[in-house]
Amino acid sequence: MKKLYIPLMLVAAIGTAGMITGCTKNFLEKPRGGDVTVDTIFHTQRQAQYAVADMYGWCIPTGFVMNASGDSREDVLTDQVHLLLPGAAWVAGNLNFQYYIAGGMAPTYSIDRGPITSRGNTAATAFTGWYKAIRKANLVLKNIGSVTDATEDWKTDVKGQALFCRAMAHYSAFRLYGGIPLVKDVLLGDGNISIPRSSVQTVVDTLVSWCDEAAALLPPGRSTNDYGRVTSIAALALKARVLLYAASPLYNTPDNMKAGVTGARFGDARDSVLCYTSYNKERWKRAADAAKAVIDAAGASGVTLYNTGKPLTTAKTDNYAGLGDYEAVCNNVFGTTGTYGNPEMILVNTYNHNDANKDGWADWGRYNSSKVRMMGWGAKNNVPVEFLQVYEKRDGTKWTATPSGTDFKAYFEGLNLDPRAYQSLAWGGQWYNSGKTFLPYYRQSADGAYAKGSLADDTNAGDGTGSAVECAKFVARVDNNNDNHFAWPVFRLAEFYLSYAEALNEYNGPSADAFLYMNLIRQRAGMPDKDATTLTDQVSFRAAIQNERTVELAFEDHRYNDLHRWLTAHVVLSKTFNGFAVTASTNGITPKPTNPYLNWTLVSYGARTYPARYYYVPFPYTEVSMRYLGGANWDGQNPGW
Amino acid sequence: MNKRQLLSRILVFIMAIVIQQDGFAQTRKISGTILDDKGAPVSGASVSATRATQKTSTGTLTDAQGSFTLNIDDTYKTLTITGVGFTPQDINIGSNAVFTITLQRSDAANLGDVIVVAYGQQKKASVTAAISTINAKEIVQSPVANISNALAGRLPGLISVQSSGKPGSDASTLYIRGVGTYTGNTAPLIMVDGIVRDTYNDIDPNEIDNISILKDASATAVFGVRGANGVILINTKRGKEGTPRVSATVQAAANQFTRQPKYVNSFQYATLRNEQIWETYWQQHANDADVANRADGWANFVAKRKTGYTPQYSDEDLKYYQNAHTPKLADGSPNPYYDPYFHPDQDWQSQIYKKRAPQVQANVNITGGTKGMKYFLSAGYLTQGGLFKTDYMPFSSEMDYKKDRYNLRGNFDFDVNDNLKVSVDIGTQFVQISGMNNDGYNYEKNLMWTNPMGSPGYVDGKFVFIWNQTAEQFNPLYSLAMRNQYNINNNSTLNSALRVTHKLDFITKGLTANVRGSYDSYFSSTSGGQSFPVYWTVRANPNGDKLNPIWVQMNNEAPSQRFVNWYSGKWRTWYAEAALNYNRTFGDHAFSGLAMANLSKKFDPNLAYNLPHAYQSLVGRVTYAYKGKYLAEFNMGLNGSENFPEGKRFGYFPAYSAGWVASKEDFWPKNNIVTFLKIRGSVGKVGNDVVGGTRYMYLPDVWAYSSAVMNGYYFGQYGSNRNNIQGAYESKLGNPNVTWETSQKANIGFEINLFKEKVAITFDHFTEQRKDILSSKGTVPGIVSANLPPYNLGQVENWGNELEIIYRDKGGKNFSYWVKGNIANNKNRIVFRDEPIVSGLEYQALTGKPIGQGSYLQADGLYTSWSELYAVDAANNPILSQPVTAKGPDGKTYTNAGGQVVYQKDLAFGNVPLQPGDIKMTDINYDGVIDSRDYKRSGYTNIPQITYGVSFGFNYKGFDMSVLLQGAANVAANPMPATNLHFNGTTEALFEVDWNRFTPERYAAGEKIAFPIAAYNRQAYQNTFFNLNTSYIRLKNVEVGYTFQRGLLSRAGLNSVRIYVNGFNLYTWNKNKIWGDPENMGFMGYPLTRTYNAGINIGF
Repeated sequence: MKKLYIPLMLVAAIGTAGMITGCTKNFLEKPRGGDVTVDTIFHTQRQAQYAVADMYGWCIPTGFVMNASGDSREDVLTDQVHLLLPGAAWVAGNLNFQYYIAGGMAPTYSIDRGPITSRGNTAATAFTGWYKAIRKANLVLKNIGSVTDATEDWKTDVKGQALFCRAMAHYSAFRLYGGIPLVKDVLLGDGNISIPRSSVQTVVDTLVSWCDEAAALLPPGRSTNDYGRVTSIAALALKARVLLYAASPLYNTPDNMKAGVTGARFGDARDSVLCYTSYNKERWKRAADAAKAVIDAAGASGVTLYNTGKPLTTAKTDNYAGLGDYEAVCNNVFGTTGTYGNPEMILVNTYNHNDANKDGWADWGRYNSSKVRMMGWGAKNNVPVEFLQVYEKRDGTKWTATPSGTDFKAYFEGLNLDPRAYQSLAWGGQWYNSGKTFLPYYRQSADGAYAKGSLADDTNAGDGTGSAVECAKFVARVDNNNDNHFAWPVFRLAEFYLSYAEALNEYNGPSADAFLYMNLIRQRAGMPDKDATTLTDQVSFRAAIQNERTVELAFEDHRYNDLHRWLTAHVVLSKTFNGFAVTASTNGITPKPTNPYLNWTLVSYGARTYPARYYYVPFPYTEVSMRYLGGANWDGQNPGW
Repeated sequence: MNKRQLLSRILVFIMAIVIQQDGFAQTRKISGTILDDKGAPVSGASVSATRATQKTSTGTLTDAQGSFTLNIDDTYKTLTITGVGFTPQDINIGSNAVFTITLQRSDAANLGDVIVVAYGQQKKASVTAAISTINAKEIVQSPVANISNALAGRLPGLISVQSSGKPGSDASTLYIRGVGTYTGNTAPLIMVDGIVRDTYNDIDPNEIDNISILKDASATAVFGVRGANGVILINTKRGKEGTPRVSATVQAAANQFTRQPKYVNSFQYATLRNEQIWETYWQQHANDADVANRADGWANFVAKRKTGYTPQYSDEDLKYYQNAHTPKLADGSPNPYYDPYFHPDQDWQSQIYKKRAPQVQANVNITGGTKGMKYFLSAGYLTQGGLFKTDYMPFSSEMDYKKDRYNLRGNFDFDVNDNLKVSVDIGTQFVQISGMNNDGYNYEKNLMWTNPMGSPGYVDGKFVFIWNQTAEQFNPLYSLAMRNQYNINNNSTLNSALRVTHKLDFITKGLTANVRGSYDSYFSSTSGGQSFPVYWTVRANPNGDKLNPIWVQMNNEAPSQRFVNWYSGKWRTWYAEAALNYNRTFGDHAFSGLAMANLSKKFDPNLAYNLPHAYQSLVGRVTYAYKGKYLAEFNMGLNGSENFPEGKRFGYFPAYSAGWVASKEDFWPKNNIVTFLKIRGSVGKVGNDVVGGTRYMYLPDVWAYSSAVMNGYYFGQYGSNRNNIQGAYESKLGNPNVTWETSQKANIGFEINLFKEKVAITFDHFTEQRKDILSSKGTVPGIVSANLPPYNLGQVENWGNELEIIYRDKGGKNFSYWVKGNIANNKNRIVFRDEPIVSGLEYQALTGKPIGQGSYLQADGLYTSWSELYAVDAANNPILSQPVTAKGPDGKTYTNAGGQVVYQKDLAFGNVPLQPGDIKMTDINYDGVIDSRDYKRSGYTNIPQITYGVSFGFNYKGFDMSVLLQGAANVAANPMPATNLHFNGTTEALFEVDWNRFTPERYAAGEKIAFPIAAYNRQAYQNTFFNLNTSYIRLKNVEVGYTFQRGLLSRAGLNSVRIYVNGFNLYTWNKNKIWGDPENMGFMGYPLTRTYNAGINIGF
């Protein structure tokens, strides 16, 4: 037996010794290989382009409803849409509009939803989302020089794109919060960060300088392979928009408008992060010049206003070719060549509702953009009567809704509104497309002969409103509901025609150029010109150009910004909105199966409240508690929060 | 299947040895009975016969009747009887064949017991650490498929919370002494037979000898970096010297659900919906210009509501629903309001669930051995059925939840010679789990989103919907069949270990060395299948015949699919240790020592970086006892973890403990009251190196590629050259200074035996300071927006007490009984956490609060009448121009930020107008509005602060009975998760509790109100009204057994036969029963189950 266990003991002893000494050093060491570091990414152009793509994904905005159950159109914050949720309160709720319209926005229920990649999140991650986007741009700027196999031209181009992206992300937060911290470097996670909010003046000047710098580095146009990539005209466009906003009353407040925003000011030196310290008319000049620069540069980039002389959409069309010019602009943003197409885009976000998203199920975007897209369950994006009345009649006159009637389809189509209305809306009885035919927006008839239509509101409050006009812009209609032709217009040329006209008027009253560019937009739409006989002064032209801008750029995420910068949000958004409540009815005649006669009455959506402090969205509690936003003197929170 | 072959060969080999051993000598048989000083039989006493030369012996254990038999030859001279708690006794064998031996109880009951400690054993009397143990008998008393569920209420200081009863995933979450960290890394370390093992739930309870929990630093310091959350030691049975003893058990049980929330019927559902719409009308119009603040506002509102309110269900609908189960009128004529197709009333629960499901367990084990070789062999089988009906589905049997388990174990101890001992342990588990694969969806969508009038359901073998109402939630039976694939998961686990121990007395007496290696592996594969059921709709028949609708087939038949096996998980682990043990007594001084080195490596393709995970440590222990009175012990672990940078990779965790057995002091008066008293205490450090799955935390900044499309970008024009460029993004930044999370623990306790060991009391008080908690920074400005690594931040304190009292006694010769009680409490507080604390909102901070405490709006009951909101007129209608003022902290009116007086009606969350039946929210910061600033951390968490168990039982002749009551207190749950806010939508399920809502009529009638109005403000659901007390007391376990007397059985060759019935989760006392079972209230998933079980155990 001894023979057996002496070797055993030896083995044990050696094993023990081995474990305690020999292996110790390397046993816990991570084996080499597999790590992806910043050097891996910015070593080759092939790898670096992935970082650039990621930056685009975060920095380029879209107005499409993202594929998250809680997301919704930004329009719901304005008078453009009164959202009715399908009997499920968690749908479309993350924009917190339900708190917002009742005056209940708070740092924890803010309407800031961050860049598109963080939609559907809480206010705190939304705010930091903007800076995540900025960080990505800064990482590209910092490291792009290290790429070994790329041409200097390529690096210069990427640098320009990153400068633009950084400016775009800053602008996106600035439009909500006012002056924000400007982050120009990749910040470290340890150590003290003290970058307080910058004044409006500094933010504007900085963004403008970044745009100028980017414009100098970027090419004016792109090949089709690079559609969606930033150009020098896009940089000029961002600069023009920033300068237009900066010149507007919210930031450049004339004395006679100060009373309207008392609740949105501190009345002391802190106001520099909210507005310029004094009014200066020259800012409008700067804005006008910047807009004109975009218009002038447009030609070089192949960008033109899309006007084929076909203002009206062909009745019962299923094809892009049948669309009126205005409708074609937003229905075919990709601009495939042919008889229809889109040369008007300066920059688009190339994502659409057909792209598989992070959740792998793109339908949420469609459900929440409109009820008509999915024909049934979905959030109802009703357009209030008050907003419909912004559209003039075809002859340029105003109209007021009739409180009740017996055939809504005939009434609404017979109003003969601005063609842009019919090209942006869906309504009860409309022939929508050959798949969906007539739209069943109606409540059950009083005699029970007709059950409610599948597009009736189906909410927790029951079928209470029966609203019959819904926003249908960016809802695929023609070409068999094909979402693929959509992309989000970040900048299109029409905006800068209108910006130019507005700025000219604000600077020196309605000049000839102001009329020219406003009327170019109206002509394309099929609306009569306006001239100095009716718009005799700055005030009347202001009303007209603001109305024109509202109509032309409706549902394209301009309204929120415009109402704010014009300092009219507290007037326009503090009232009761109404809808057309439509009920199926036989009216004593045998109805057509797809198009019952529809009785209508006006129904109230309830009163909205817009406190003055809404002009600046509150920073999240977490950021405020760290007390870096305000510098040494105060916590940095906006007034009233 | 090589593993199986290998195992079976080893078993055959071992059996051969066993049989051979039996045939050795010329023998005679002796037998006898061992009794205690009161004449009761002593079971489990060791009886061994020793040869005159003292060289060899043979032995056995007494059975339940205290009987033994031994085969000896004439060379055996002495019988030695030892029993736990008794003084050993030697008897001369002589020529006697039958013995009756009475044992004397030793000083204190069970002090002779040996208990298992980390990497060893100690005498209970000299242990200075806080350890609790349960034994085999209690473990098998609970007829559960998962041993973690057998522990509730048995061990003071162990908290167990079970959330799901689903076969295969019904394990309890275990916490030792509560929680000491807010990072969620609270799981105790599990060791099976001295080796860290991830899987233990599927060990056959019949294989287990005992389970111990190690609670304080002294007991866990040797585990160092992994011991901070306490340790659970599971030890399987080992062979005992003696003739082979076979124990066979078969038991069969029925499982059923414990209390589930009940659903309302169609009539109730429709009534509630209409009620909700009625109440919502006020919310929508209370602020209309002609209503708000006007003296005639209410009248205007009522006038408006007359035309504006449209119920979803007409009176006629309601009548149909009421008649949904009445096809014929009393006179036998057809009921015109019977409309099962378009106005059904479905009790989906009864169609989806079975009433009961079977469970069968069987086990055979053999134990025995000789001086040279001892063995324990066990084979077990378990089958556990699920409670879903699947007979209407394609793949009916595969879709059914089911678990089948096969266990095999062989533990062998070879005494190669006096000095060398070799142990071989092999255990395997083969588990097959089948069932629907979409469990979460089944509850969240299919059951919670359904209503009782949604569809005709399953009629004549068809899934039927109502025309135009084909969303899947309207027919949950269809949805279950359509949404689910079946999955059959087969997994096998092998645990194997080899241990060699050698005495090194030739170096110095008392020294031994041992080495041990183990190899564990796991493999899992899954197969599945899917069917595509056909569904139908019914349309109204134009001829008006409701009972004869038009049937429309909505989709075409498609062939079912079966998927081949795919690999679904694997890992392997090896472990090696080498140790020196020393154990020697010099006169009054007893020393022991342990020095050990061990290493382990785990290989699992799911580990981050796809690299194996390693641990390495040195372990040391020194104990000293003087005259058994003064005890001292030192333990330490020196552990290495791959998570930390070189140079900081090893952490040192020492623990010191001491004990004083006062009752052994000379001055201790001899008495029969306090017969034993030990006071003990410990202090020490243990650690934690885990944060989620993060590995190599010290590495520099890492980048990663996104696979998700939207994290990259598209370039190019659609239709020609549009393409997605994937994203690359900065992932986690590195923290080169990262180090351990440490836990400073202290424990003080005493053990006391009273009245001649009839009563044994153990008490412990503990404190724990968890420092340097590995967690993320909360106060880095958002503008940094980097993915920061864990830092050593944060501190938590955790403290509590444990008390266990055991009372055993006998009433006469045949009757013995016992009562055990244990109770433990634990509390914790976050001392520091790096979080942004908003000035003025300190009451929302986590710091200073218990871990996991929720932030709630503070509810103060319900508004029960308009008069709480407005002045009321003679008809009790509100006068809207005269709102009631709210009261400030001093009981007087107060004003808001704008200087206006605050009215009670203003105190509505989200400005939703209030009405009677709404929840009354407290304006805790008195700013005149109820908003996010009025959330406050409050209430208990879902981990109970107090847990207790009381068990009692008796033996009378052949009968035995035991009862376990188990409970939890200071625990709460909010059963209103985001996806199931009652009345969340128009088709979601409504429950019995919703029916018990507030209405003015129900309130006036004095009926029980368990819920606010149907149109309660869902935005404000996170309030204390819904934070429900989930304390409970359960009748956890009852067992009654009868053991047949020996005489009848021996003729049949049997030693003993015991039949028994027992039950598990039999009854629960708790508040808020209407919401469901308290232990998992609010959980959307497979409910908890109750078990009735009967079995038979045969020994031969």
